Amino acid sequence: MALDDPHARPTEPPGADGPRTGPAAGIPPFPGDEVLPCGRLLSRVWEQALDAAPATDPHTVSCPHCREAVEGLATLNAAARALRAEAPVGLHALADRVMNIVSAEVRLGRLLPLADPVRDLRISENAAAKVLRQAADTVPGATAATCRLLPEGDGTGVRVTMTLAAALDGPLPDRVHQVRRSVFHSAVQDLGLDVTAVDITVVDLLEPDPLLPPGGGPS
Amino acid sequence: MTVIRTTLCGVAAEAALAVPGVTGLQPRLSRRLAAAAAPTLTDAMLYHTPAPEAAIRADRAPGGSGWHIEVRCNLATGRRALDVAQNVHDRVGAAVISHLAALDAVERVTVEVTVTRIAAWHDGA
Repeated sequence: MALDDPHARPTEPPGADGPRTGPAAGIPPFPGDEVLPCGRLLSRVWEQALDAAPATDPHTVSCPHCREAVEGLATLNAAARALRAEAPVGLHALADRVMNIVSAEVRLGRLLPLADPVRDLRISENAAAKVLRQAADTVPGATAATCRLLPEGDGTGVRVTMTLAAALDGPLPDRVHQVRRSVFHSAVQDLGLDVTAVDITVVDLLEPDPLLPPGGGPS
Repeated sequence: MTVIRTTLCGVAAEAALAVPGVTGLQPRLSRRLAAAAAPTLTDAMLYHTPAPEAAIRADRAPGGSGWHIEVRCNLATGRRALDVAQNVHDRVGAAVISHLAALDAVERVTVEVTVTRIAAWHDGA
């Protein structure tokens, strides 16, 4: 909080308004409150600086200790206010940065073994799925919807599960077979995965491309 | 030991980045979170382009004998991921062993390579 935030003030110590010549009389109103060399309490001087015109207290105007204390606290107060004004923005930005980083890490997905039984080589599910979806999309009349990969067995085996949207301008089993072949080929040729199976489910229909002949174009 | 670990990370990063097909190294989560929490804008800017060794983890192998190096790398399309990863594995291992030998601290080294991303060059990999 800033130094001039409203707060409940404890009971005023005797003689706190006036100058003191020795150790502070009475108990300071705040724990740790400082008694200035001129005998005044720092908290009292600060409140006077905030609440009253300097001219109303001749001591504050003339006392170098009070003036120095007020100037120091005024600087600290300004800094505290500036930080308080910035803090919400800074915290939101920090939270956003952290969430973005964690999300990116989660998006990598599980780590899958590459087909090397000797070396310790892995690939993120996200990176592999992206390549395999592109392979499925090369088949005319088919578009990959989802692609998940799971390790299978104790070795380097990986099982692919894919969902597709497919056009009905040709037999679906043929199109699914083409996609499976393309995915297998890409998994071996582009990635180096030891794919044990590619499970494909057609979950949606595509409108046929009017520019392609029935059957899906070049085979 | 900390000095050796730091230099091992630098050596491993340099070796990995020299492999054809590697477009960059993927900083580890802990380093990225540390960058996000950087207290000043200057620190944050420094950490947003982390040093390559931020993608390397060098730990004592289980049992305390030898080093285990983890590398997270991003690849370009056009080369088989398995081939590039094998190349990274072998070059990093060789570089680290050579570095340890130069320090007269030869120990067993194991290397683990993770491909985190495959992208065309124009994707900003």
